[in-house]
Amino acid sequence: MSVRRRILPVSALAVCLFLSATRAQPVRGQGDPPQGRVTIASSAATRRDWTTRVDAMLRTGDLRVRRRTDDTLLAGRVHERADQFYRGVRVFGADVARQLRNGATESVFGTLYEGIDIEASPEIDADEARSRLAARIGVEIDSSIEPELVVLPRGDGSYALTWRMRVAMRRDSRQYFVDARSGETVFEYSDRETQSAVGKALGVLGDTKKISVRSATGQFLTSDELRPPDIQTYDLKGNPFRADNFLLRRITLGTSDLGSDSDNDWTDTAIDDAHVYAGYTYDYYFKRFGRKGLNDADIRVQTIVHPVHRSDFSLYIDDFEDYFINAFYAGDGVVVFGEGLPGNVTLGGQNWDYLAGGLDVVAHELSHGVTQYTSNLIYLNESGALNEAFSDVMGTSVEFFFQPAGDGALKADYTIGEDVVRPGGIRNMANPRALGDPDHYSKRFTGGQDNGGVHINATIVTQAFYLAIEGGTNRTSGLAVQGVGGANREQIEKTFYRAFTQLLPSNATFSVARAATIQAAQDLYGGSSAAVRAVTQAWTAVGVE
Amino acid sequence: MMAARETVIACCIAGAVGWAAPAYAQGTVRRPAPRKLGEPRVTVTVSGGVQSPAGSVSDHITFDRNVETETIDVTYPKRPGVLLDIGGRVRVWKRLGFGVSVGHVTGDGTADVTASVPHPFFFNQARTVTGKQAGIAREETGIHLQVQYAVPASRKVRVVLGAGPSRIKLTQDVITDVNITETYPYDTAAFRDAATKGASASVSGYNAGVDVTWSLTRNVGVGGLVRYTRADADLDVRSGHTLSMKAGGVHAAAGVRFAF
Repeated sequence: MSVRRRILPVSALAVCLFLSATRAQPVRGQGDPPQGRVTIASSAATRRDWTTRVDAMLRTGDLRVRRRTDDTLLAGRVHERADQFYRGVRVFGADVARQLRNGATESVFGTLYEGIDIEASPEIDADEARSRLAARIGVEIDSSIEPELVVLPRGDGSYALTWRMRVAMRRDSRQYFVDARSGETVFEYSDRETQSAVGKALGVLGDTKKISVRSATGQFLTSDELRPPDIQTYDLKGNPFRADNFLLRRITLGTSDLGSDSDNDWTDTAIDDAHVYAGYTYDYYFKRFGRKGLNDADIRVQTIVHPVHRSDFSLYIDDFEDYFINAFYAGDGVVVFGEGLPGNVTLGGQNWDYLAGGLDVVAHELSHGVTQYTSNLIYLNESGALNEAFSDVMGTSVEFFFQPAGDGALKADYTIGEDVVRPGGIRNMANPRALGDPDHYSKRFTGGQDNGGVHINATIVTQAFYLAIEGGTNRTSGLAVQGVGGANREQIEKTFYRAFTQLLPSNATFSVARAATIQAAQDLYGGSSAAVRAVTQAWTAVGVE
Repeated sequence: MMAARETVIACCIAGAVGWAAPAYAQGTVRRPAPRKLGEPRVTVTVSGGVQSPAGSVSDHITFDRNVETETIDVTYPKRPGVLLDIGGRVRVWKRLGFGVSVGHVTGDGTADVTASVPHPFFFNQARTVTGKQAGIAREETGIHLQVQYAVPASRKVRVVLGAGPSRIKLTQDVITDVNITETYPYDTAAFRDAATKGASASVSGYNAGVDVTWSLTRNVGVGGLVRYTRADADLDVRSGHTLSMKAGGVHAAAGVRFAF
């Protein structure tokens, strides 16, 4: 069963093009189709020979026209593409492209295989091939994927009758060839036409981190190809109207909107941190809780940066305040990060940097997505404060997961946004009163602002979270709490996660949250556990019964 | 260290063979008469045997991966190779002659590989993978020239000592990278296989040895050879990285001899 592979060019120009394409072929891997003898000739006689041969094969059915199209540039030209068949079975990778001029052959290119001598009847059927492949790769293959029986030229010069299937998976799409006799997978390759890449990124605070991106033609794009969900970061290049239109679902964002870099050494710090920290947040939920993204089913995450430019502060601050000094979750996996303020502008005595530069800020916003797909706490009054509190709890937990504990930049602490809103951050879980927020239920805000104090009153809950871990005394009640200790913070994190994602109803009150977290601690660690004691004491200390 | 040891081995072989013949002559009651004209003008040898391992070879490769430095440590197999040797000798003056032989050595074995593969998401969290890569092939084709001296022995036995330069083409599978199996979150990885390529170099060295023939008829005999060859080669592994490796070794082979 010798293999003779022939490539048939005719016109001189076309030969050159073909040769260029040949040089661009990737290095052969194990099991690649054979590199047989290549014949290149451009004489009129050769063209006649191959025309005769192609015509004969078309008559016998050894070649079958797959497509015939008119040339849109040259009148009177027609292009045919024909596949080689062996006893009615298509030969993989064997086809001919013929250019006709007024019915006569102008050029022929192609690859044909000679000397095929195998039995063309399969011993296992398509369903069996599909199930055997599914068992091997551990992926359920939908019955809508119809295997194609093909002759596969193999690297050792032989041929195999195989069932070909293209299986699309989350991170890859692969062509599989299952031997139609043995059921073994004899060849496979990925035909997904994108490629992951790892680059170096500069953060807002001048730190260097790795960034998972997509390698595209001549550039790198902020689309994470290594984590299970699509995590994409879009650079709106200071166009707030486009941001508005996207959030209002009037437009969609495409590849050209992704952050890009030519050398994979990323220097747009806002883009870098938004993209990297979104990945970290996914990692935290997966590693700590086994959760697959916001909806536990790897929903796409789209983060938006540069909705405005700082230099347009005076132009846009009135109409687009949120795009400067806020970060928000817009639903369905979309998060917008504000641009911050120019260096010479302060708000409340604080400087506002790119909000994407705070790991806790990014994790906070994405955690709203977790809430959306779980308890869906109503964003009003106490349930709204629980919603905000859960995001602060998770944002801080992500910080402690990835950063060393301590004060200062890029350190884990119980202050929200301290890395980008300087000095002081925006909420303090350890001492809410330091930033004017309540630390006890008796001090709760009861007005109508802030949706009934969803941000303001969140600190009562997060103070309980803090005390349950670190212990200490609530400044208002004077009650002491014996926390589980920082080394055991995982217990309280899991307790709050379980309560807030699985036990709480959408209109929960603080009192319900107390009961739910105690229940969660009992579920996880037992009724007499330190976690139950700490959580119970903490809620009591902040005045929630 | 290894070079010195192997040089000593070669000297010992040559020395031992050189001393063996006189010892045999002194201890023999029926000392054969010297064969003034009995040495064949031309001798052709065809032998098969083994080549000793060339010594321990290890490699340390570093290159960029995931924005950090990946390191790979390889210990190449140390196994004897199969030798096929065809040679010829022409006597030019009394017991002196010139010889040339072509030796072809093939063999393969399993390399031990350890790699430290950087994490795709985080600095300083490299994953260590270890594994074995089978089928690491090695092939040597050497041309060995010798000035030879036929030591007086007996009517049936001819002993030829020789030494001279060698030219050896070494082709060796070298490990250039490792392929790992990893899935999200990529905190661990497993060795899948190693990426290899055939690297080759043609280098010059030397050889010394002895060939002993037991004549069965006037023109045909059987014999054996012991020869030490040595050359140093630098193989191109990756861009900017070469692997120094010894070619040759101790050849021990036996086969037929034709005298004319």
